[in-house]
Amino acid sequence: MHSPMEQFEIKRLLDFKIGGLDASFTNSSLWMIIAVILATGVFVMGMRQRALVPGRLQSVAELGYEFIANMVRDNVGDQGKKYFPFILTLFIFILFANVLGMVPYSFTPTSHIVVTFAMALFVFVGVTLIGLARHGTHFFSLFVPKGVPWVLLLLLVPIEIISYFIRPFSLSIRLFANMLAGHTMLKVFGGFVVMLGLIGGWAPLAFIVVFTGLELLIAFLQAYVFAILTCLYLNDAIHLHH
Amino acid sequence: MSQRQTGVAYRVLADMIAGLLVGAFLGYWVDRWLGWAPYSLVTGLVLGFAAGANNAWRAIRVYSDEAAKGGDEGRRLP
Repeated sequence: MHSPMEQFEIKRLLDFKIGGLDASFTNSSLWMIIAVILATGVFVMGMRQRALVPGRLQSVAELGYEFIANMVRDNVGDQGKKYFPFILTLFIFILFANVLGMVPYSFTPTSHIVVTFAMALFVFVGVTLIGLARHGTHFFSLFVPKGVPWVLLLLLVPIEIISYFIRPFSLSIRLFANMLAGHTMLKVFGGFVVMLGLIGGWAPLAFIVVFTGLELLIAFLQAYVFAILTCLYLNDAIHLHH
Repeated sequence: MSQRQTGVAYRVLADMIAGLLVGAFLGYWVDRWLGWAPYSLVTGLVLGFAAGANNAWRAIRVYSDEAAKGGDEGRRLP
């Protein structure tokens, strides 16, 4: 019987090194590239016709575009338009990586904290730099709650600063933990089906069917949460209020 | 449970856990650096917990404000 964690193992497909750094092409990189190619394919192929009445693929592409466009407009406002391409890319990439992970024998890059933390850190550093570029030192007023006596500020400012630095961690832990837990659960219950055999195996099998549906929902939901939190952080940096 | 509630629940969970982790890490690091063991670890844990709760509270507040207005579910999540 395979261990339920075996599906998360990184395997080197092509070995190579860049200046002492191990930059091998792994199964994780392979599935990230597949996600990028498929996502690009959906958008490029979908929009090739540019029909007024969209076909199926064009509907999908337009739906994704409008979904994120509304999200950015509602949460960041007009100044967020500049950052829309980044947030759309982020959302579509995470969505495709998550959903492709549901394909049997595939690999889920987002189930590794290095991958999610790299994305979260990029968002965090980017948003902080945008805030600093827009407001200069006034940006730090984000850490000072308004209308609070100065004695309490001594306690609240450190808490606000830590709250701010928690962001990349909570952002990455959420995505990776959801993917890891879901896929492990599926594998564990898959093991139950084999162990209980022909007589008792049907109950866990029924559970797997239901749980796969839930996993697909979570795959979407986590991409959505990642994108909307990026919007909210961007909004904080641009408008300097919570 | 609606999709939106699930999203808020996951957010609160991750915020609280990340708060504790970051607080513990910072405290441990200051301990190693200045040799204040175990006081800065304890302080870090308390501050980290407070910061995590602060983030979680913010997420819930936005959600409940929206719910009280009764409007536009699903668009503006946490």
